[in-house]
Amino acid sequence: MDSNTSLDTNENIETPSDVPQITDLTDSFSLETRGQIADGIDSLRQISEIHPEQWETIQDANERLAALQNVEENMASIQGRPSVPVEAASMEDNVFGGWNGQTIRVNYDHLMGDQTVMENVDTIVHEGRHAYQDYAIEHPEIISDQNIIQEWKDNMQDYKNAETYGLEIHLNQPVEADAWSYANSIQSGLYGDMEN
Amino acid sequence: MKNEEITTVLTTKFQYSRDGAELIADKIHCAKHEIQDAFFRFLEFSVLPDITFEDVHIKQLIDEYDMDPIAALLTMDWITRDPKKAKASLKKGIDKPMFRYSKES
Repeated sequence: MDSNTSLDTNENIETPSDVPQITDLTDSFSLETRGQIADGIDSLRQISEIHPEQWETIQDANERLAALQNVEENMASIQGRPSVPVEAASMEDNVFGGWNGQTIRVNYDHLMGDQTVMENVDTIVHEGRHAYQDYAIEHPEIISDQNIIQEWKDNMQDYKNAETYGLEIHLNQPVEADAWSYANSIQSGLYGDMEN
Repeated sequence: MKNEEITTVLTTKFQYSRDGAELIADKIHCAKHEIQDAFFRFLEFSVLPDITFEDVHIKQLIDEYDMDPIAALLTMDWITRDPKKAKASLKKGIDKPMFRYSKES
């Protein structure tokens, strides 16, 4: 399984040092997650539309959304959950996307404007991970460590938004830390350390 | 002000959850003196100082990121401790999930 080659370069890519690393290989949840990440990188690499050069040639919003929907279909399959629709929506500048319990939303201006394909793919994988977290609460058998399920449940009941708690507490809460680490790992594996 | 006192003010006056208030109290306990001063002044007088760190002005966090004053102070605290990561995260932005589980519970 070759998860170390980016879409753009043949060089060996080092994982950015600030991406949380899964180091405890005896932890079953970490093993499951690491496996999903490796499978995700290999699977998404096959989607030609999310290669940067090809993405730049796609100027139609629906076609870009279709490519991102394909990302979601692949990730949902790997995670063992039903896929969900991906849609673009008007959002504040500092909001890149959202999961509303039924659909994944991506900021329309980011989709068609100044955000790279790497950032858009990161958004879909991040929000898809939230969809997975929600699905896991309803289907706890898909995760080996039930302590994780409880941690996510507790967090969802007391979710800490950035507007009230500031950015650091918001990003470090369990469901966000998990989604950020997961999506960052896949983005790094796919795109290496290309500049955004 | 001790952590427990901070937690009480945050839960009673600002309606933070107990867990959230304790997290904030811990952050303030370890914050730079200037942030602590600003925090306690805000608790007492509802006035926020004009502070800037690493070219980020506290008013930007309130106006552009819709942060409440306490959230803005906490973010400024993070900027003082880890400016590279904090500013990268500000640039990246946030998401706003609404989990099915929290709606149904």
